[in-house]
Amino acid sequence: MRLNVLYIFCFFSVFAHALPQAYVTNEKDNTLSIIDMNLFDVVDTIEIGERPRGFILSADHAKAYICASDADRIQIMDLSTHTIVGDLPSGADPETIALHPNGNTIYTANEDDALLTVIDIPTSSVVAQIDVGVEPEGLAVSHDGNLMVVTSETTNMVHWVDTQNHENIANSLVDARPRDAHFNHDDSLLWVSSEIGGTVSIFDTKTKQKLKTISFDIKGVYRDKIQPVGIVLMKSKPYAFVALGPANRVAVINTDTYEIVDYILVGRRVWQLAFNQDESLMLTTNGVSGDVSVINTHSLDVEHTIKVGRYPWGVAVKWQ
Amino acid sequence: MGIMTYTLSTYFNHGIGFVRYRELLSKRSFYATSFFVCFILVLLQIPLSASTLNAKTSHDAISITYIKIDETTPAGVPSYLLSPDSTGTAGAKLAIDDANITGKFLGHHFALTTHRINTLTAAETPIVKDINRSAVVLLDAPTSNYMSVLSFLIDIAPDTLFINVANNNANIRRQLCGVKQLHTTPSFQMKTDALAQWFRTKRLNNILAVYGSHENDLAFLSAFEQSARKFKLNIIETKAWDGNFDLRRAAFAEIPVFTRTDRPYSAIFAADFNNNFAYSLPFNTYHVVPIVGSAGLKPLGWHFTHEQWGARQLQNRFVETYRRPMNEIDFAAYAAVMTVSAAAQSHSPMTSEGLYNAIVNDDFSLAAYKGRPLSFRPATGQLRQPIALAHEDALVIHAPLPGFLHQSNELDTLGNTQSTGNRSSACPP
Repeated sequence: MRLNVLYIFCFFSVFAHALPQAYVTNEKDNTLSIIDMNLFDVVDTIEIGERPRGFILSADHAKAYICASDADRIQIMDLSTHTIVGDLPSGADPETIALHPNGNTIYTANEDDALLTVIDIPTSSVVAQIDVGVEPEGLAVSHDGNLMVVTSETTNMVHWVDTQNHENIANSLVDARPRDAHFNHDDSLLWVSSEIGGTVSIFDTKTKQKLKTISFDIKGVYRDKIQPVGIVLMKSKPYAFVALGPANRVAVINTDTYEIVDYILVGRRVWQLAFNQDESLMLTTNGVSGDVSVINTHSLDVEHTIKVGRYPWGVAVKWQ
Repeated sequence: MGIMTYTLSTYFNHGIGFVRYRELLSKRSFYATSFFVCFILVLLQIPLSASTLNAKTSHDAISITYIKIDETTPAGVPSYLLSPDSTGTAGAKLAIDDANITGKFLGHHFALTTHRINTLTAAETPIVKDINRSAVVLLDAPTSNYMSVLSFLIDIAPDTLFINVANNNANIRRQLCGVKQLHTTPSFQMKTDALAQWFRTKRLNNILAVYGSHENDLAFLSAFEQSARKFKLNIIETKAWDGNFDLRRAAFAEIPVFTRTDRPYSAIFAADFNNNFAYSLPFNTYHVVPIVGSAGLKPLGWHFTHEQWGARQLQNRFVETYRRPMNEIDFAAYAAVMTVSAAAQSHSPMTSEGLYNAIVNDDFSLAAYKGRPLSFRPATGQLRQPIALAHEDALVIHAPLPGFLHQSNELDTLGNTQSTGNRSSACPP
């Protein structure tokens, strides 16, 4: 089966050059691994700034924005040449980043200073810094661009920010150590993972009230080890995927019924997740085992495991 | 073999991470960062408060008093082994800053008063005043007068919530009727159980136990003896150190004599609270074996090399503020304030009673950079927490070690879950 898939992809790769490619930041190697998504192998490893974590692509996939946390900057990489072409004034210790749908505004969480920094990309300037809770981390911008949220790990809160005037408009308490946040497709709901609380909370974006809390139960895994981190929501199917950290599994949740469909065993300390273009494959970064698992989202099986650098953290797939 | 490879590579990764971390600490300048942030703010004229208009303006104030009772250090302790002056209070202050950032969104404000004294008597009027208006007292007192200080405080303010942040002794972990007392620093029993799990994992079964003359040394030793029974370790001999000379130039000659035994041993457990002799044991003993306890591999509530689970952010904040590594008493004080802050989030009344009830509630959990939710044991008021096994330069592992299981919570493989103190002093049935 695996060989057949490989042959099919090899066949396509003749026509499709090297795309799609996946990019993975290696937190403890200060490098970026580039995975050829036809060969499912690392084809290049590039030196980047110190302690790279958050990684996102521009809307046209021409550039990437990389949080080099210990270099205190967001690096901009030209993806046609794989060179760093500039950086953005991020403030100290940027950990995660999110891009506004307008493509010009980028948000970053400054973990050490309890700040959310809003940066205008064309002028490379800081537009606003917003006081948030201790150790801000998870960022999400609504698809309509009107609202964004940041979660703070030690304050255990979701801070809601109006993107027009950069005002903190509401704060909602959530279970311990919130890590990642995602709006659903019509922006009616916000999904938030709580690492130490061991739960995923779903908020109504109008009322900012919690609607639902999802807990996990895996046979043979002690509940303290179930630590939800990365969340992704599928467009084509009513599925949400949640990385469960040291439980070494990704939970598959039906977004209509909130029932858990499956737990997929991946590498150790699974962290962040990303889809390919048609959402047929999902990649997971596995920090402790230093590899990436590639999951088939139809069969919910792991099809490939790819060794990358030390402590892979952020991941994104470029297809255009 | 697969597991072994994973484990080795994990250690290797940690090693690399640690070297970088130390380099970075020296490279990163707190002032430069602050200046940079201030510069941007001034440049853009963004008032920090403008963005938090929505934060609540009415404040529920929670007053916390930190009482540190000093103990005289005996002569002959190397100065580099003395505890920094700000031990404990530094951790509490940092936690107050963190708690107030959270508090500003919820309308809570935390205030800390610290007192450092030799003894506590009624003559200390300002302290008595502070205690009277504090919902919470953090207590950092030596074993010799912990109970007398506590009963003095109970007489002044019987409803106060007391949190022990520095004392590991079992004798002070007694239940007292009607007294709200918690312990965020681990007990000696938790520490020795962590060591015993490491001994079992490494198959080191025959242990020589050595101890000094401080009352905590006997308590540490007695906890280790209980751990040895629990985890089936064999203590081949127990020896008391009674040397009254400075070891630093005599250790190479004296320690082999002290550690010579009839039967061979595979490791040495040392209980030396005052740092009188244990520092001389590594590489000097008759049989050269691992040293654990007060030297070599130490069981600690916190170690400055721990950086997983977001700990590095806390370590960075601490070093930037206090210019020294965070120790286990700093962490226990930090955890105590964060416990109160977490309880304040539960919508319970902001009184000693309200906070205490929220903390001992089954649903309470504390996220404290240890990779799992922490909670308090109802019978002992002890904070369940992983124990760091660390040497001078690196963290070895956090106990509970893999494979040590428990029917309800793996953290309960460390320490006593039931009160071991004098039950007669608790409320009569």
